[in-house]
Amino acid sequence: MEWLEKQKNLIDFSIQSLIRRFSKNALILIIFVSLVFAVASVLFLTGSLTSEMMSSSEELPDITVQRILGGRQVNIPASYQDRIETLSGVDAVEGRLWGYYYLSELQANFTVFGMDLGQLEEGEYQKIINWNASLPKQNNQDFRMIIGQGVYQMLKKLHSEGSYLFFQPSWDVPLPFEVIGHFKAETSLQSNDLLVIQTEGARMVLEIPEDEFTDMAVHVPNPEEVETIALKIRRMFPELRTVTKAQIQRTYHSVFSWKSGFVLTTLLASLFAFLILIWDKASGLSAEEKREIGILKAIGWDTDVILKVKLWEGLILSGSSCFLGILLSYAYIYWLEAPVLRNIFIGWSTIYPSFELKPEVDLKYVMLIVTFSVVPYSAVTIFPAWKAAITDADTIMRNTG
Amino acid sequence: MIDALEAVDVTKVYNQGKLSEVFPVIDVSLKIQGGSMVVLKGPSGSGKTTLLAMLGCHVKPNRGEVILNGKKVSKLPEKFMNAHKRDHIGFIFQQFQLIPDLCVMDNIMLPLLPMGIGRSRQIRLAEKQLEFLDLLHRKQFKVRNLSGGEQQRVAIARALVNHPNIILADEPTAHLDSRLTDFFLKRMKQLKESGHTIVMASHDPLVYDNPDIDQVVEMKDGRIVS
Ligand SMILES: Nc1ncnc2c1ncn2[C@@H]1O[C@H](COP(=O)(O)OP(=O)(O)OP(=O)(O)O)[C@@H](O)[C@H]1O
Ligand SMILES: [Mg+2]
Repeated sequence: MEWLEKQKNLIDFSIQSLIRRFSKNALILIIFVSLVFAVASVLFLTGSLTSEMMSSSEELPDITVQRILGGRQVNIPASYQDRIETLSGVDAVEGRLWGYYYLSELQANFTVFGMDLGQLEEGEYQKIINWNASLPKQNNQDFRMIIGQGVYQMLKKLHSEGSYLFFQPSWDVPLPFEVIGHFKAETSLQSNDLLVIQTEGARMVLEIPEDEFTDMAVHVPNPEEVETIALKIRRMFPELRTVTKAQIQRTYHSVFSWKSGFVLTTLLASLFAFLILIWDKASGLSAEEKREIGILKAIGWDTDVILKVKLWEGLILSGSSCFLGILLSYAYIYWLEAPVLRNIFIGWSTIYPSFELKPEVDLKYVMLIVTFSVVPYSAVTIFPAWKAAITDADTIMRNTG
Repeated sequence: MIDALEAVDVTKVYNQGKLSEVFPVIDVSLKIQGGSMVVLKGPSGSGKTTLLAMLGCHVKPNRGEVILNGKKVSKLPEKFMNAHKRDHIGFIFQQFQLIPDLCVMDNIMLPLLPMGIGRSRQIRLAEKQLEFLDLLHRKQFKVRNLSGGEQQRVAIARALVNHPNIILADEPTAHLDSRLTDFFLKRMKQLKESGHTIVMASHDPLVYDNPDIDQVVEMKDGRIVS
């Protein structure tokens, strides 16, 4: 009870002291909060994006097969499909159609993906698309498409969100496409600049002959077999390149950790500056603070009690800064959707993906931030206090008020 | 009755071995009876403050022994010496040594904080001293806004708040006019009558010539001359 009362008294005194030296502490608080905010934002964003990428990459094919000739990726003849399917362990091989289309009005490249839109009209996929209800029944099923959120927003500005006319100078006639729906914003990370076009229409837009595909997706049910099957495919067709899901995930991982590493290094420089500042602020106890420590000692406070008070001061100041910084970065990333920083991470593209970041605070990162802010700060503040507290109490009696 | 405070052959050296070596107190022995009021007098630099600081457990003597209520305290490790100081001694510093940004009450309660005394009891103890020193009306004032005489009373209240049985005061009347000096000495007399032991360092005749003083110890060049 008495012990508790004592701790309470000391903490009260620490808080009172912090408030008393408001301007000095406010400065440290502001700098501290900004730094924690910056570091926490980078860490949280990296974590959030990595897990977002990881979960979306789960839907990638187990093996993607590309045909490389002369160092370039070229179309794969449809005949390869059956031969790969004969390999044991392979469940299915799916020929894929995709490419890019340059929309001159928007001065931007979009990803065109060909598939049977019928697949999207049923099951789970149905829910991620805003279907265009007002559409009259299409006469030509081949000229239908579903577009990404970013494309939709841009076409809307051109009042062309219901239908779009594809044209290339080499074509005889333009190809009129009906927009039957657009992807919801949640899927933007994957679908933002996407035009999903009915297979036959996609072949026309991408100019891919009837018996060829852009690449192929190989489904392998047993993850253990993926590497050996990839090897077999490369043996069977030396001009084929295989990319496994694991390889892509590793790439995502390293890209984000590289980027966060880069940003963190820049932050480290400012962290260093901050440490110098607090070292200066904290180690050079003001004459007033030194005198106060002398007074406390002279009226019978033990050295360890004085250090406890100073430690509390450091912990309260750095702890609340840390808390505030983390809170701000949480708000910045998950409410404001990380302006500026997201562009560094996702890249500056013509259309910024407007996906929502899922709130996800990794305790590991919080611990990391706390250990690298609260701990060194408190240590740095306690040292000069200790130096002042071990000097003889009699010096105080020689100080004139 | 045992002596409340005793110095046995105490010597203090500063800057030992250096060119600036000084011996502010040399081989001083002194017995202070419990419940008495004693004045240390002597010219400036004669070692009054240094002796008082050793008696008050602020400074350890280089040689000799300080005995507090029959206990040899001056050779104890700091933490234990400190504990004796807290329990028995109230020290009034020449320059008050108050925290100017804190209010009167907070200054007076300062010694109570590490003792684990609850807030309401701290307030009661502090108010009692302010009442005794006729300063209750200033309790919420910041110390920096007080007059010298008021600050001095705050310093006394802080020294007394913990009910020490020994009160040491270094030049307590240096900042006071004769009326306040009189008030101060009356209060000291009251404390003495209630059993406190009081030692004051002073070169103020109003203090050492006061009839209530039991003993005047005169110092010169670090030694007791009478
Ligand atoms: N910490 C110290 N370091 C160096 N010299 C000191 C120290 N403390 C005291 N002295 C010296 O010791 C001598 C005695 O000092 P002390 O303060 O005890 O005298 P005093 O009798 O209280 O004088 P005053 O009446 O002026 O207050 C002085 O010469 C002083 O310079
Ligand atoms: Mg003196």
